[in-house]
Amino acid sequence: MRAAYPPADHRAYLVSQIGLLVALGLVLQIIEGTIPPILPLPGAKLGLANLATVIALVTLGPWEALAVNVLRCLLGGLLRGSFIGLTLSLSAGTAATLVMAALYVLVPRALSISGVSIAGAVTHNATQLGVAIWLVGFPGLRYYLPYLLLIAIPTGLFIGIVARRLALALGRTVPEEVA
Amino acid sequence: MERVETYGIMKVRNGESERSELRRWWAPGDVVVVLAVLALSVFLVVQGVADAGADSRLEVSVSANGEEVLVRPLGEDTFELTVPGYAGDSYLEISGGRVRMVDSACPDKLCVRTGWISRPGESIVCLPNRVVIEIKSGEGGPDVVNQ
Repeated sequence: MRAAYPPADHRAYLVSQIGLLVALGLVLQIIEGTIPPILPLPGAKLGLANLATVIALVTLGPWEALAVNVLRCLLGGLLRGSFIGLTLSLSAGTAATLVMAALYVLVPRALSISGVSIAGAVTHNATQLGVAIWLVGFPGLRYYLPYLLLIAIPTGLFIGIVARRLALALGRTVPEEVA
Repeated sequence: MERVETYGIMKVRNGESERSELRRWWAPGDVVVVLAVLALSVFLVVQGVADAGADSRLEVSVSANGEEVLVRPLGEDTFELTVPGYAGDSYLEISGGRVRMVDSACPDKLCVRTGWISRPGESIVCLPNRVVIEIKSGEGGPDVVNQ
């Protein structure tokens, strides 16, 4: 009989995986920051860093995805050195992760990872705009919400497709025989 | 030969995930999510347009000696108003969504020469008579910035 991989006590495995995904998310965040925006709209970005969270959700589990997200947002906020940026990304990222985890766990058959990712992107954008309105105190920003929601569909789809390919590729890297 | 790999909570059977989320890149449920988001966006746009229409109802605010003596929607109707100020009376006219100072008890008549005002944020100030006429948007905020 074949031993389960990862082993039953797989805390070290989880710690290393979470660390790797946090690092991946940080690198993707920095790379994305260097790419000039395609659309001249604030908030309209791919959200490449969210890739790490989605992969954590698929390959590790909902709590691990939440851990990856919180750590990535905190460290990313320190890297950028902007408190408002940290507040925005942490709140929006956490809300998106919670929605994605809930959908992934509660509706496992109905949605593909693309649908989960789109729901996450929509939640992310909506939360971010809500927190921005709260921080800036300018309610007129709410007229921007429908456009941010529409943008979230293609970006969420893209992240979902890439995350699926990556998760499958990562799945294949698991050694067949681990004693 | 069947090859089963367990990766975290994910089972991969012969390279294909057991979880349907990974079997294909899309699922029927995704369409529901996308349609829901589209419907929500359309609803928000329509509601936003209606909302913006409501916002464009402007108010004219008149104060004398630092106290607001009149707040009134800036409609198409015409009327004239006499406001007692510090030095005497100010006469203003509201007509066709605009306001102007017709005459005021001041030596320089700068307020009269300001002419008609109609947009949010605009104001007529008669300093000697301490009368201020302002146009405000119903809600305050977006209209003032946008226009």
